[in-house]
Amino acid sequence: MTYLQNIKQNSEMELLVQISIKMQQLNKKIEKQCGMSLTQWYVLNALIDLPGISPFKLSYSIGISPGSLTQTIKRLFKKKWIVIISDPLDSRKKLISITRDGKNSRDLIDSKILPLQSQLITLRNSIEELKNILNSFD
Amino acid sequence: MKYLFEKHTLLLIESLTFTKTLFAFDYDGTLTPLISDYNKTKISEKIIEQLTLLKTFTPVAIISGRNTKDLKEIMKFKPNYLVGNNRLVGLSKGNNVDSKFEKICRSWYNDIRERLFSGEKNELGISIENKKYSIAIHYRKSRQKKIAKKWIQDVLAELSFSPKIVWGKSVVNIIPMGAPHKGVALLDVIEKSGCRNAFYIGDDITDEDVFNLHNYNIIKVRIGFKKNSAAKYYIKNQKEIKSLLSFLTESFMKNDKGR
Repeated sequence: MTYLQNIKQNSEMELLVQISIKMQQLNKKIEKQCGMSLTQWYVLNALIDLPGISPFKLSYSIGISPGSLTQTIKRLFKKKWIVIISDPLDSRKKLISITRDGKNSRDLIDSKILPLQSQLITLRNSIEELKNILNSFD
Repeated sequence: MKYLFEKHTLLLIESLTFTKTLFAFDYDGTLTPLISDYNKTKISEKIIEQLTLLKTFTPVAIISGRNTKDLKEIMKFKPNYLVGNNRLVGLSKGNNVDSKFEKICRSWYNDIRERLFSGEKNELGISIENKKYSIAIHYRKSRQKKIAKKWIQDVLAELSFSPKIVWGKSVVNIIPMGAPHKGVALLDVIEKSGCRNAFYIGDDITDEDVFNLHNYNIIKVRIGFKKNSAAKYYIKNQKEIKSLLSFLTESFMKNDKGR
């Protein structure tokens, strides 16, 4: 393979890495401006439709590992954006729900990232395809 | 079981109002108080008002073992989904199956009624209700409840087609094996409504069929604490239903204000 072909071979991967870096920067920017990271926003979004779910089932539903989710849950709980209660039928198990404060904060983030989301809509199919490619490496 | 009006539990109930949730209610003993003459039960005007308001925000269902026709006549409130005889109105499971259950119930009704009025047994204050796909034998009015209950037990032991027997508060429901129950009815309604989550409240042993559903997305509440109930939450008595409905409608109104 020639040098130029090598560059072309790597550029898609470079793009991917650049996207990942940009996402981290965006995440930090949003967290700084709104006090909420994109991961926290993502978890709260899921909780809106899954009231009273256990952390284990939530982890399975949204594809975040239980370990990572535990940290996110701790932060959300500290900010009173979620409530954690014991399962009445088994006090060892916990159930989580989003609070009104959590919903309002999530709505605020929605409005901040809305301009970005509207631009991404046109790329929806490509993003899904990229996600499928990355999933195939699991 | 946890008390529903405990602070953190209320936050869980409030979160149901943030997403599309079906709110389903048993009728007798839940929306109406239990009285000795079940033919005279009535929902209060206040509860009708609250249910009507709730229905503007979210789908509302009433699930009852009562005959559908009776329910429609006595209820002044029209929910989105009405389940009488534990069966969703308009959703037949098959005419042959339905008529088989109906025939069995009719034969039980005739048998029991004949024994009830053949001698002096009606002095026990027992009454019998044919709900089409189940039979209810009431002995709430009886002044000799122990004797009434024993009489009923003896009669049930001799019935044909071995019924499923469900003892409630001064009432016993007998149901043909394989006939639909409230748990199945609720799942039907959830599917029909397109809701992802549901809330159900009931007071009786027949509601345990709902409480025993293992779906995590159904919040199950019992009226009155009962140690062995499968319900996770409870309110103290039927009077607290007004407070519950107020809480739900206020939560929905706050959501609207926030938009």
